[in-house]
Amino acid sequence: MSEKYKTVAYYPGCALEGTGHGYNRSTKAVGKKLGLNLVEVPNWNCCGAMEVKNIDPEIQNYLSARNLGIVAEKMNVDTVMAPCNGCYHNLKKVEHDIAKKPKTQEVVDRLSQKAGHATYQAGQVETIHALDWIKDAIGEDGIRARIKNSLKGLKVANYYGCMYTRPRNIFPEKDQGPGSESTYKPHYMDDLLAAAGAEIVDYPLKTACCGGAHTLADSDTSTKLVLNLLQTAEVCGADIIATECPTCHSGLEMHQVRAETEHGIKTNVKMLYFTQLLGLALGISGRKLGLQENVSDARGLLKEKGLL
Amino acid sequence: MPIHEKSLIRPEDLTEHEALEIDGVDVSGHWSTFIETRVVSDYNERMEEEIAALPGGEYIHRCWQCSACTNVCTVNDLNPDFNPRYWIYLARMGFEKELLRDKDLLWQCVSCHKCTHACPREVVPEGVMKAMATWAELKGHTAVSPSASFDAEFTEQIVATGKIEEGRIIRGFFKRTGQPLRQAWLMEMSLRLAKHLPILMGIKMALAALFRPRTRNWGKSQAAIEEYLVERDAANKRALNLD
Amino acid sequence: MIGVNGMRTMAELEARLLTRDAALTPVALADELLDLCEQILCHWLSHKQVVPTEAKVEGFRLLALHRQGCKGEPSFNACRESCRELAYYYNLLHLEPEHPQITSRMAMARAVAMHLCLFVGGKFEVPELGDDCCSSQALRAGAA
Repeated sequence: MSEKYKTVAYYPGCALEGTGHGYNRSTKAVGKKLGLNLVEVPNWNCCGAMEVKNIDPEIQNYLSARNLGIVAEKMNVDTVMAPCNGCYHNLKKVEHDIAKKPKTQEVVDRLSQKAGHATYQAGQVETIHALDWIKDAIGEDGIRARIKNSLKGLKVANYYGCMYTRPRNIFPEKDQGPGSESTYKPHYMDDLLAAAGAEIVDYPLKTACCGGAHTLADSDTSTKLVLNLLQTAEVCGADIIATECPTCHSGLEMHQVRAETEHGIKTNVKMLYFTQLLGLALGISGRKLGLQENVSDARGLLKEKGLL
Repeated sequence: MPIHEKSLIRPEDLTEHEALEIDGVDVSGHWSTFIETRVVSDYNERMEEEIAALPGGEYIHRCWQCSACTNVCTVNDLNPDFNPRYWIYLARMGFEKELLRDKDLLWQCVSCHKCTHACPREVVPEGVMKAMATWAELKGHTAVSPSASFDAEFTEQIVATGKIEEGRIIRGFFKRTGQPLRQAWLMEMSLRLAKHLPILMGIKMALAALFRPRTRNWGKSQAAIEEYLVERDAANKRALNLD
Repeated sequence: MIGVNGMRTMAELEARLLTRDAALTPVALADELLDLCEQILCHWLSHKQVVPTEAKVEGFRLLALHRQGCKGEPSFNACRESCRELAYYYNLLHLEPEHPQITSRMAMARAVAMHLCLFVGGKFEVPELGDDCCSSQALRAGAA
């Protein structure tokens, strides 16, 4: 095993302390099982998600710069890992803006000084997603070697959502040829879950939008978008939609229920975080992976498939 | 994927004559359907600058109307009237009245970033959509949209404590927008969760709702952000000549 | 349809158009198609109990007959372009009978004449034919 990403700073973000708690638990449990160390960023703050930028984008940049600054100044690591697409996106965004936009550096400097902490400088910390973390530190072969409980027979559609790949300019490491992640057809989750034995179905809506930013503000739009994702996954033959973002995950769960209660359209596909699926393959118990904390309860299905 | 475009001919711009003979040919009724001549004189020549001054709108001037944004747009798929390319065109022309026909759609952008991803000119159309929605609100053309209410609730919580707590966000948002918290689907979801959620987790969530999660020593950051926001707010209003 | 004033019936006119007589020279074809189409419009006018005019518009009796035909029935304007196109091909065949593309021009002239014949023939059977002008689509959609 390479030493890359053996120890990384962990930025869970607000959602993983709330609705995405199952993602938090399973990420930690999988890391532990794989011998990877997660050190939580001390005293972190919210990244501003998709909301603060609409009030002012530079405030949003400051929020993420403060977190990166803590990693750079107070932690003995050069990498921060965020499992949430929103957090990951915003850390990447400030990294990009601070290097390319003088105004961002100026505002971040000014607010950091006022707030009495060090200013983050571009390039001090590398931001990665939970997918990069496992893919680069362990890899498919590493997963294969550690499988206790193959996901064989489980049909999985991988859903990456918007913030993991878009817009391309804030992800300079993606689209760099073979092996690198693709912004048009991301495949890291496919690779990892296929290595864990799952049958990956061809899912054309990998990076379609679930309407997460307007989950509550425009519920009807979100329900339409989510229903399309769910029904397409079912048409593609999936039992499970694997997710890697708490906002997408809870959006899919909420609007699956909403489609059923408000429009009488029932879908049976279940949602699981990719870390929960990986954890099952690695032999971690469902309870430790927080399966009971998902609204979309996949435990019946997993028992049926002999995975629980 | 086809390029989605909108028809420039609206029913209200069409005219017909009951009885009309042109050059000896009887073209009465809808055989005399014509587009009425329009003279537009009330352009807002500062419109592009106004939108460019608001958060997200700064690159609107780069657009060369290729329509890549509209073509990939998530919302356009659901509603063809949601047309970022067209709105950018109207804003740059200063055709304020025409844009205001769609004023109640502007806020519906779901920030999926497909447009920004596809744009060959780095216009950041997603940001421009937000700037346009803000513009319509600041100018008093629209009421505060549900999306803006959500943004405000969210931002206020972060500014106050450095973190958010989802339950509090939901309650705050419904209160702001005057919606009942007991919506059938939310109730159903809580019920399903309660069925298999261990009691400990329930207590934890209840505690989070009572004792707000917060970032320690956040006070100075809060003061710095608040000061900057006041400054930005004034600058935005100045840009729209509202002070 | 019964012939009026020695005119061929609609069925005869259609049958004649369908023969696609290969022996005709370009000029002879142009003359015959124009004559057949004038007879077709005369049938429509007789049906409307209007005496077909002998006047010409832009040098063509066909166009004058069309004007008469849509008087009080603007939906007949649906064949306006067919009439004008036939006049165009008439001119083409007369002015350049030796043109390298003469075969295709003759075929087009026949097709246009056939189109006119089918429209007017159809109009006898379905009076609503040609009722919809596409430019008024937006208005009709609103009314529906």
